[in-house]
Amino acid sequence: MNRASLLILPLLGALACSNATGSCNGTSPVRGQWSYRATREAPAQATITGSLLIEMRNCVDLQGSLDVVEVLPTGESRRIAGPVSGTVIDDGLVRFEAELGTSGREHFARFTGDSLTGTWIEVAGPAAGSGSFSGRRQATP
Amino acid sequence: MMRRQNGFAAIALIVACASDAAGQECKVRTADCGLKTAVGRRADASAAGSLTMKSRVSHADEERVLPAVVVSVSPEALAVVNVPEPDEFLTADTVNYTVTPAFPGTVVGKLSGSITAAGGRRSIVLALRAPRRLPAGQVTLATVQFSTGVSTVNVPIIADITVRQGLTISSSSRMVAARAGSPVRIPWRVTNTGNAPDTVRVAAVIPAGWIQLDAPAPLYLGAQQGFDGSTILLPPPRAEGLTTIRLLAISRDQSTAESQVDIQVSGEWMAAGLKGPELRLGFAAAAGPWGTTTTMQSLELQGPVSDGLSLRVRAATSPGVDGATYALSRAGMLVTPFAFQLASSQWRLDGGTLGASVSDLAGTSLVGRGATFAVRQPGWSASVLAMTPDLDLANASGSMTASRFEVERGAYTMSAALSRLSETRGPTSRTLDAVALGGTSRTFLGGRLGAELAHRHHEGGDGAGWTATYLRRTNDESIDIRYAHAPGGSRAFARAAEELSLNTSRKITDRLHLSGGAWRSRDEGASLSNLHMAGWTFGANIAVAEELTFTLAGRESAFDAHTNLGAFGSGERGVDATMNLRRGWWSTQVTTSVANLSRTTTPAGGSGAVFRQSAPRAGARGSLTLGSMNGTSLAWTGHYERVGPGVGAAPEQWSAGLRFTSRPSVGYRRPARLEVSAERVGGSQDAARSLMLHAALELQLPYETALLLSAERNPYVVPLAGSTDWIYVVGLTRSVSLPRIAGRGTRGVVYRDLNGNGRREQGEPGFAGVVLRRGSSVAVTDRTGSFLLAGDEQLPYELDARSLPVGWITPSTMLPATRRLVGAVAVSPLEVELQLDPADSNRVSAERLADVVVVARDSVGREWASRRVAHNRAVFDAVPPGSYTIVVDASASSEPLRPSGDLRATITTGRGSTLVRVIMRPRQLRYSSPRRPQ
Repeated sequence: MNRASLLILPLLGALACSNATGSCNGTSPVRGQWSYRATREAPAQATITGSLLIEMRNCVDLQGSLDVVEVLPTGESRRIAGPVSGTVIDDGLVRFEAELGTSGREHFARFTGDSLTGTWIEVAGPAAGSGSFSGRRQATP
Repeated sequence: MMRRQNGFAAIALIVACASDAAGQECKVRTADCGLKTAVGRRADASAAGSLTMKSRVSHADEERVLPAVVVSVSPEALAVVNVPEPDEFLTADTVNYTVTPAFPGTVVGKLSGSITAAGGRRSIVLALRAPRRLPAGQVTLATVQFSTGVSTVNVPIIADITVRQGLTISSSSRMVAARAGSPVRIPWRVTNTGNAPDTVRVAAVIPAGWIQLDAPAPLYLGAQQGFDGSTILLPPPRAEGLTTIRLLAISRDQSTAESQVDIQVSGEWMAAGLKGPELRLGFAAAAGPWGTTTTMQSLELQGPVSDGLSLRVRAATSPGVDGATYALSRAGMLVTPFAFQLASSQWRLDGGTLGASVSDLAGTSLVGRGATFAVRQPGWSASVLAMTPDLDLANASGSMTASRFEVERGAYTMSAALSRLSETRGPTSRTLDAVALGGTSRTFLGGRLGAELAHRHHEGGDGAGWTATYLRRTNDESIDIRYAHAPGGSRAFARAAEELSLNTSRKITDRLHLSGGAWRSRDEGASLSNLHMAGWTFGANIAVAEELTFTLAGRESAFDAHTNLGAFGSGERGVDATMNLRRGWWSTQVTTSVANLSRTTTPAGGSGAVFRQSAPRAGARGSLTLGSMNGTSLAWTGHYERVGPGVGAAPEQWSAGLRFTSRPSVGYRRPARLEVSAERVGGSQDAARSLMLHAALELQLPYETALLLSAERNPYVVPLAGSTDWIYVVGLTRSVSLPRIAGRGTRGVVYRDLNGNGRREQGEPGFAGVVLRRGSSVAVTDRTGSFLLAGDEQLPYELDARSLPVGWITPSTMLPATRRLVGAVAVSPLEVELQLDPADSNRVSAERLADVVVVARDSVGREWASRRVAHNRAVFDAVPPGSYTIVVDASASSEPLRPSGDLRATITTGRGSTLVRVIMRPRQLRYSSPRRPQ
């Protein structure tokens, strides 16, 4: 326990001094509140609907939250929500990860105007959950 | 011959002789039990004051006190003690000694003799044995008297009895009947069989969902002292069936003794066998950020509808608002579509909205609306399904039909499956036409080997698929290997196109457990044209102590996916270290982890640009839980994590939470459950919305009604502008037990047949808690002994003898269908002692009595056999109450013995052992005078 702490604390300290900074004013076309609609294509079919909030931390890094209801294969439904963080790759492409419960879902999408389309994947062993998603802009904060 | 004191230091023999007695005969024999060799020590002045006896030296009229000899002795073990002659006798030529054993000790060997001069200090050696039940502490076991004829010295030998710990625990009933949701008392007796006082705690190991209502107060038990107590348990409301619990007697934080008790839990005491399905109706209303109050109603029907036929139905209205779905689920009101299941022991019909799988290659994860029907018979089984993927939720269309047939022969199983599946959901679709053959062997290298071959035709083409699996699980290791090749992958109803995985774990020692796994897969999804995944884990679990464990784990996972937007991949490699510490009523867990994240992105369009980022991640999380036995617990949780720049993750995240749960008890019931939690999330997140609060109260009301109130503030709920970020839920449920459609059954009474005459008479009460069975039907007698057992009343039924207290029996546990009154009788031991007439004991050997056969004959002429425990003693271990005549048969004896006296015995319920003495007389001697002619 003490040894583990000794190993980790310096690393945490080093990381504390390594935050990214940006020179822009924190605006990006992807910033805003989006409706979120997704389908799970593997390993079992499901539909996912909800809302996605994206804010810019700096010029390329984003953060926010995802709040969705997933209709499970058995027909039951559940709400899952969690924080979102990611990066804008270049004009129109964005990657972000939503931490939903104990697993993360990686998203890769293109945004054009008020629309957002892409795919998502959840790695939890050999059979990953994956599918497509789309969004419509609801508001710009 | 041993002549010096140090000569006996390490012998493995029992010796009793004088070590300097030249020419004296020593008694030596091989020891077959624990032998302890010890050099007796003279108690010092301070210790001597605590001894119960002191040495006395007499010089003519003078008497002095000498220290005693003290030796450490284990109960039942032999200890050899050396008693040196007193200093006053060093110059004497001959010293006589006499050993006088003191109750309760035993001295092995010669008890008197003399020792003669041999040029040094002389001593005698004794072997002592202390009885098993002798209490720990000091006790005088013997006294050695040395004498020269002029003076005499008495040296007491004091044994310091070591502590021997021993506990037993037992229950007076092997089975106890209980009612679901009601407390049940489990009687037990714990006995300290050791030789020293002990503090004992009795704990019950119970299944999940059960509650122990009484706190286990420690018991202080003296040596050989017993205590009759009980433990009160509360089975959950739906825990019907047979459950085994363990009672542990714990001393010094270690389980020393254990006993098992079966608990038969039924829904209703008398009508358990005729209980029908339970109907649960629910209503809930939720208000939250979505602006309007939303309501829903739910219905669930579950349980047997007739003999051997059970039904399950569920349905709920949809609130129509996504946010309300989550809120209502917090009140236990799941928004479930309509589904039903009708099942018997041989077949099952499912309908409504379903999830099903045919096989790995013939279709998995099928979801839709339709029906499945399955039949299971000895040696074979079959199933068919027909459904549509349209769930009114995703604008899906298509049809899915499949069938599967399986034959089982011993350890081998063969299967065949046919499927025709098509599904279109919006822009994506998947199809499969498959024929599959499979087989398994349950005895391959100690595990289960399975394989399947299939022809798969799908939208992208067709091809042969195959799978192979191997699974072996033992107490110390597990191996799970899986390979699958399924052309079409998840676009053709498979888990993946290619899949290889290996998971294994092994116990190296009692304290070290290793586990690991690796996987690799490839798939061709609708949105992901090519998806590769791989990873591995390896971990070691080290139990430093029973309450302290460490886990070290390494891991790596990665994926690489191709889409119409380009390719993107992700990977993480890290190490986790976890400590678990559990001590009494509190426990803590701390996990630290370090990892390296990597991200790769290649946008489509031919620019060739590849974005690669990597960053370190480190964090720690921990929890501390304080719990008590009365259902109240308090837990703190926290975590902190930092991620380097470049991969887009939040640079800093932390959280701290507190959770309080309580289920206060009122009498034997726990009518309320309160849960309050708060969690603060910080770091890179928006601090203004980072506080989560939740409070819920559930009240159990009369008439099987429950009320739930819940309020929650969730930082991740995205509120509409100007709306609240709180959600509120009010829920109400009511449960009703419905009768069975078929009402056949056997009604009867189990009673205490106190006089054992087989007829119920006035004053013979009913027997509560007795379990009766017929097939899968179970009934438990109520307070009056009455029962109502479901099933065909023309068939015999069974009384579970384990549910009777120890010492109670019924003439037969299998009861004919016509039997309505079942009498249980308490059995008692009956002992018969044969004695020879004292006048004849010199003429006839008592050993002749061993040839005499003893039988007891009851009032209706039935004979009971005895067990011989000695040549003159026979025991009938358990005979019911009644009048018996002792029948003595000496025909096998060479001496024509015959009984005299009263040979009758009366056994009464509740009385202990009955002893009957029978005087046996040989044939009479006839004397004749030679002077008188015959």
